[in-house]
Amino acid sequence: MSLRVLNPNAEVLNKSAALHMNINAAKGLMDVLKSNLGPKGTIKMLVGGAGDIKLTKDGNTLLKEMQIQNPTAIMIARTAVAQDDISGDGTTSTVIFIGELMKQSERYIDEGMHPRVLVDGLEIAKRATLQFLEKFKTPVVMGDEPDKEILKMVARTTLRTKLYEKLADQLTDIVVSALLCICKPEEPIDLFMVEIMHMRHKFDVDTRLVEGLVLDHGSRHPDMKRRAENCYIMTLNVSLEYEKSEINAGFFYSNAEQREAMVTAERRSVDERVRKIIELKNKVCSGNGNNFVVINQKGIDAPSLDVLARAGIIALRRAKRRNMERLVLACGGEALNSVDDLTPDCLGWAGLVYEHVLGEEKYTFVENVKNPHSCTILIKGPNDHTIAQIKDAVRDGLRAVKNTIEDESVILGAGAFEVAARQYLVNEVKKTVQGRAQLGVEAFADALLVIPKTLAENSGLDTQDVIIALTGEHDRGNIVGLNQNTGEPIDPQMEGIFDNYSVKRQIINSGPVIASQLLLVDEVIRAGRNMRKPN
Amino acid sequence: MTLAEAQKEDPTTSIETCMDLLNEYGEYLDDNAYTKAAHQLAVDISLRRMCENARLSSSFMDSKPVNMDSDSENDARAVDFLQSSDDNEQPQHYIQLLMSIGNRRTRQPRRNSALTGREYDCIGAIDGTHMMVVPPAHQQAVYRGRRHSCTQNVMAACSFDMLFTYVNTRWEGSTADSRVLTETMIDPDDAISRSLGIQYEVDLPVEDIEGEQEGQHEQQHGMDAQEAETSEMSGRQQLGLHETTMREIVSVQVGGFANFVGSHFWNFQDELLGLASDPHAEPVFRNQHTNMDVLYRTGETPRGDVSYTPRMVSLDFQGSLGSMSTCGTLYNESSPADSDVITWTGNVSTHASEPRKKNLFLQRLYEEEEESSTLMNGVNGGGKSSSQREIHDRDVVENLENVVKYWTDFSKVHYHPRSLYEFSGLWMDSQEFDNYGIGRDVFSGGEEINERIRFFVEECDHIQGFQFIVDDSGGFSAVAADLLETIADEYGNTPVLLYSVRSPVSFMNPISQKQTVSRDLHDAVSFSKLSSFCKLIVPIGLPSLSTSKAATFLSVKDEKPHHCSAVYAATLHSVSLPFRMEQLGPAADSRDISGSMDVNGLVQMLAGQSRENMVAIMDVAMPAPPLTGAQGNQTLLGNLHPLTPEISEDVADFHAVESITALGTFSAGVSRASVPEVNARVEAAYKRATSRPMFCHLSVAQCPLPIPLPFPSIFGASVGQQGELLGSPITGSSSRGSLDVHSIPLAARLRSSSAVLPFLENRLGKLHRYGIERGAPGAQLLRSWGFGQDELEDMGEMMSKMVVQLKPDSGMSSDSD
Ligand SMILES: Nc1ncnc2c1ncn2[C@@H]1O[C@H](COP(=O)(O)OP(=O)(O)OP(=O)(O)O)[C@@H](O)[C@H]1O
Ligand SMILES: [Mg+2]
Repeated sequence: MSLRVLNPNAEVLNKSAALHMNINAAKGLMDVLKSNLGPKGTIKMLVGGAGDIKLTKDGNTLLKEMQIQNPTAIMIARTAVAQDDISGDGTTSTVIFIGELMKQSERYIDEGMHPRVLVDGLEIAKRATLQFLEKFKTPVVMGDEPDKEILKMVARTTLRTKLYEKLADQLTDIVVSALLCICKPEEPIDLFMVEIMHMRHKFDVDTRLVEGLVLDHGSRHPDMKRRAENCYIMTLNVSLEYEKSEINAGFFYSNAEQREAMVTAERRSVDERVRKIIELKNKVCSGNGNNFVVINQKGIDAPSLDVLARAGIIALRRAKRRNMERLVLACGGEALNSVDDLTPDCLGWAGLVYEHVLGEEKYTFVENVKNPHSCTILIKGPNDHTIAQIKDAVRDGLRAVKNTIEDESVILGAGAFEVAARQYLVNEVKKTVQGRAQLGVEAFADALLVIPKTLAENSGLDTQDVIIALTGEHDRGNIVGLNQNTGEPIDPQMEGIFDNYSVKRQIINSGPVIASQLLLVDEVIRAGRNMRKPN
Repeated sequence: MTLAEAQKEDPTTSIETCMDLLNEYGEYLDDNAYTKAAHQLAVDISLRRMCENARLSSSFMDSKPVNMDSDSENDARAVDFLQSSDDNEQPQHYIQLLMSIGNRRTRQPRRNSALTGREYDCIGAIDGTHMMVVPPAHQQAVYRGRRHSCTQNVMAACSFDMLFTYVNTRWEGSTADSRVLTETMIDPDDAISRSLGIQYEVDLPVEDIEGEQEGQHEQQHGMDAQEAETSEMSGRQQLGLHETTMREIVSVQVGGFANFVGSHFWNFQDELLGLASDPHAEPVFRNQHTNMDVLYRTGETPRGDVSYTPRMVSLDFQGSLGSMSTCGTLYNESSPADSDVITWTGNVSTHASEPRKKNLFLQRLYEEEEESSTLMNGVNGGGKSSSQREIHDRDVVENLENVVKYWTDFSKVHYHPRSLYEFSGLWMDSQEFDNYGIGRDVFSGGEEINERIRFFVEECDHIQGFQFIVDDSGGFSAVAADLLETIADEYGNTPVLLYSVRSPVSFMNPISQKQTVSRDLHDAVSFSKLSSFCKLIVPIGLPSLSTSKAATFLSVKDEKPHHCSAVYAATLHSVSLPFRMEQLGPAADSRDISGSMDVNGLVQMLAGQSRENMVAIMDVAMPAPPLTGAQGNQTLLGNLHPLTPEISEDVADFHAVESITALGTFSAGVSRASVPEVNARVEAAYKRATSRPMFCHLSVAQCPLPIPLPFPSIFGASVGQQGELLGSPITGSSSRGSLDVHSIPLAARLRSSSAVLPFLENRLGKLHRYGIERGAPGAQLLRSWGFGQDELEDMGEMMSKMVVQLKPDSGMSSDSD
C-alpha cells in the first residue's frame, strides 16, 4: 500500500472495523442533517467562536460551515455538495439517503451477509428505481410560454422548505417572474442574468423584483445627477484612465514644467476618448432633454469624470463584468470595446436611472427598461446572516424553476415518490431477483422510506403510523404523500407539492454509488488523527 | 561651401563637422531653406552615412558617439527624417521606431502631419534600431543578430522638440538594446543624460567590463568639468511618468503566513498613522511626508462614523481569524435582535462554539477603545509614561509571546468588513492543504473574492498597482494563481507586485522521499504559475531565518510564525515606502524623504530595464547601521542580507539593478542623517565597492520604523532603544521587544541580479527531473494535480528563459525588434 509508505504512523483497521467505522460516520452525518428536512424542519443558527452568526436550513450551507474531519463523512459531504452544484437542491436528502442505506446494510452485514452481494442488490434496485422514476414523473408541457402555475408550485415547494410561508409565497412570484424575464425560447437559461443584490436595512425585511438592473456602486463625481429620466445607456469597456504605455525605452524629463507638459500630453488620448463620448451624447440628447449614462467596466479617473460631469453625463466605473451582459440584455444597445465609430444604435435605453445611498454603500438603479431580458432581485434584510439565508433560498427557488423548464417534468413530493418506488421495488422487482441479492433490493427499498419518515419525524408525528398509512394508500393504488400538519395522506398533486425530476434522479444515482464504495472498503488507513473519536 | 559639397570633398565627414557647417550657414538661410538644409543633412549624412562609413573604415566602431548639443536649435530635425524617409528604407524603419515611442498609443505612424514633440506626448525618447552594415569578414559574427544579417545596433535619443540629441553607433548587431542603453548610461561621459539634461540619482560608473566587451567599449576621460556640472544639476531621473496626484494600491493577502506578514505590515501603518497625529511624538514621525491614502480608504460605518481602513482583501481558512469577526471590528453593530430568526417560524436550534478568548493585548485594545469612546478624546495617547501602564504593557508583551496562534492575536488594526474572507467547506487542515493540486480544486469562492477586490478598485481614482502577499508553501498558491489570472484579465494594465512568503515552519516537518518529490514539484509549479501572472515576483522566506545573516542582530525563533513574519513585514514596509512618498517634483529637495516611485516605476526598473528578469531578491539590514559608526565594519550596504532563499553570494553581476530604501538612518550614534547625507554616503559607498550594480535607485526617509506594542520580542541584546547598534550588549535579557526598542532604522533592498540563478535553476531542474523527463517519479502526481505534459513543458520553457536571461554569456545573443 503506497499510503502506508507515506506515513508509517498510519494505523490500519481491519475490514470489519473499517466497515463499521464507515457506517457510523454516515449515520453520524445523517443525524446532524436530519432535522433540516422539509417545511417542518429546524433552522440552525451557528454562532462562531468570534460571535459571527450564520443561519441556515440548507444542507449545502450547513455542510460547508461544519468542520468535518472524518474522511468518510467528508466523502459523503462532497457528494452532497456536488449534488447541489449540479442540480441546486437535494443535499439534505442525499446525506440522509446515504446514511440510511448504510444503516439498512448494517443490519444484513451483521447477520453475516457479504457486502459484495448486498452491493449487487443495491445496483439492481437503483436501476429499477431510475426506470420507475421515468414512469412516475409528471410531464410538464413547455409550449411557447411555460405553464406559470406549475412553475410557481415547484418554486413554492422549495421556498417553503427554507422560509416561512408568507415570505416564501412572496418570493415565489418574484422568482418565477425573474426566470420568465430571462428565459428565451430555444436558448439555454443563464441564471447569471438574474442579478441578486442585497441591502442592509435595519428595520426592513423585503424583497422585490427590479425589472432592470441594480448596480452596487454609484457615480464618483459630486456634480453628476443622482436621478435622471429618459436615459441613453452606454455600456462601455474602455479605459478612461490615463495609462502608461508599456515602455522598454525610457521617458525622461528634467523639470516640473516638462513633466506637466508630458502628463498633459499623456492625458490627451484619454481626453480624446472622452470627447468622442460627449460628441455622441450631444448628438442624441440635444434638444430633447434626454439624459446620458455611461456604465464602464474599466476605470474612469478624476479628470475624465470631471469632463463628463461638465457635459452632463452620468458615469459609473468598474462595473461588474457580468453587468456588461446584463445591461445589454436589460436596456438594449451593445457592449462597446472601443469608442471609435460610435453610433446611436450602440446605446441602450432606460426610463429611469437613480442613485440610492445607504451609509457608505451606493446603489444605482437602472429601471423602466424597454423589454428586459435581465433583471435584479433585490433583498433587504436587517443583518448579514438573514440576507445570506434569503439569498440562498432565492437561488434554490431559481434553480428549481430552471430545472423544471429544462426537465419538462416534475415529481410528486411529500414522500409520494419514495413510497411509490419502495412499493414497486418490494412488490415487483424483488421477486425477479435471484438469491440473496434480493436483500440488497430490500435494503434499498427500505432506505427510500427515510424521506417520508424524516418528514414525519420533523413534524412530530409517529413514523410507524405514517408509513403504514402511506404504504396502505399506495397499495390501494392511490399515490399520496404526507400532510405534515395532520399526518394524514394527501394528494401532492392537489396540494401542489412538486420536486424536481433531475434532483431526484441525481439522489437515486449518487446515493448507492457512495454507499457501495463505503461498503466495499477493504481497510482504512488512519493517518494522523484518531477517527474513533467523535468529531 | 554647401553641405553637399563638403560631403563630396570628404565622405567621412563626421556629423559634427556637418553640424558645425549647418550652424555656421544656418544663420544666413531663411526658415524654409534651413529646413531643407537640415533635411538634406539628415538624409545624406546621418545614420545612413555613418553606416556607409563602416564599409570604408573598419575603425568605425571606435568613432565617438555624437552628442549633439540640445541647446542649439540647429540640429538635425527628426521630423525631417520622418518626412523624407520614404525613399530610404532603413532610416525610415529607424525613425518609425523612434517616433513610435511617442506614438505608441495610437500605433499608426502619421506620416503627413507636421510633427512636434508635444503632439506626440514625448519629451525625450530613446530607442534603437538595426542598420545593415558590411563589416570585415572576420568580424561578422558579432554583427549577426537574430535576423541573421549583419547589422549594427544604433541607439539615438531625441528631445522634447524631436531633435536628435544623441546618437550612438558603437554596438554590433548582436547586442541587446537594453545593453546599449545601460552601457551608455554608465558611461562616465554620461553623454546621454547630459544630452537630455538629466541626472541619475545614483550614478554608478562601472569600469572593468573590458573583458566582457572585448575592448569594444572605449572610455573617454577628461570630462571632469562636465561631470561636475552634471552633479550640480538638480534634475533627477524619473523612470516612467508620475502624476502629481496620489495613486492607490490594493493589497491582497492569500494564505496563513501571508496574513501573518500582512498583520505586522498593517500594524506598522497603524502605528505610523497614530504617531503622525500624536502631538507628543518625535518630529520625524509627525512629518512623514507619506500619503497613507495610497494604502487606506476612507469610509463610513453604519453608525455614521468616519472609518479609515486598509484597502485590502485577505483570504484564509475558516477559523483562522481567531477571536476576530469576519466583519472586522468597526462595522459590526450586533444588536440583541440579531439572534431573532425572522425568516422561519418553525423550530430553531442554536449551535454556539465556545467563544474564543481574547488575549491580554486584545482585551486591552478593547478596553482602550471603550475608554476613548466614552472620553470622546484619547487622553492617554502618549501611552507609555505612567508607571502603572508600564506594568500592564509588560504583561501584554509577555502574554503575546506565548499565546499567539492566529494573526489576529497581535493585530491592532481595524479592518473593513469586506476585507476578511474565509474559505468554508474545505474540510481539511493546513497540513493536508500542502500542495498546488489540492488548492486547485477548492477555489469555489472565486466570484465573491473578485467582487471584494472590485469593491476596493472601484473606489480608486487611479490605481497604481496591486500588492500581493501569497503564502506559497501549499494549496494557497493555486488559489492565488487563479485570482491573479482573473486580475490580469480584468485589470490588465495595472501592475501586480507579488511577494511569495514562506514560514520556516513550512520547511520543518521531517518528510519522506515521496513527500520530497511532491514538495519540490510544488515549489517549481507554484513559482512558475505565480510568476506568470504578475509583473515582479519577490520570493521571501529562508528555511532558517534565525541562523541567517539577516538575523545577526535579532533573536527570532523559527518555529514562531509571528516572529519571522515580523522581519518580513518590516522589510516589505520599507520596500513599499517609495510608493506612498509625497511627490515633491524632481527639482524640490526634501529633508525628510527622497526617491518617490510608483509600482510601475519599480517594476519597470527591476524587471524591464536592463534585461527581463522578473524575479527580485529582497535584502534587509535590520536594524540598519549608522552611516559612520563606532562599530567600524558595519556598513549600510554590507549589512544588507537576503531574505530570499537559494541565493548565491558574492556574485559580481554588472547588470544588476537595485532599489534601496533607507529609513531613519543615523549618521552616527543616535543622530539622524539628513536625506542628502544618506544619498551622498550611499553613493560614495557604491563607488568604493568592489562589485556594484549597473543601476541603483535610492529612496530615503528620515522616519524610522516604529515598533508597535504587539511587535514580538525579537531584537538582540545589542540593539538600543532607538534601534542603534550598541557597542556592548545589554546584559540580562537575551531578546528585547517593543518596550525596550521603540523604533529602528531600517534598510531594505530589492535587486534584480543573477544571484537568483540557483533559485531558478533548482526549480527548473526539479521540474525536469521529477516531472517532465521520461519515467519521472512525479509525473503521475502532476497529472493528479491537473497538469498535462504540454503545460509542464511550457512551464519548463518559461523558466529556462528566465535562466537564460541571467546567464552572463547569453546577454549578447538577444536581440530587439
Ligand atoms: N409541503 C410539504 N409537505 C411535505 N413534504 C414536503 C413539502 N414540501 C417539500 N417537501 C419535501 O421535503 C423534501 C425537501 O426538503 P429540503 O428542501 O429541506 O431538503 P433537500 O431538498 O433534500 O435539501 P436542500 O434543500 O437542503 O439542499 C422533499 O422530499 C419534498 O418532497
Ligand atoms: Mg430543497
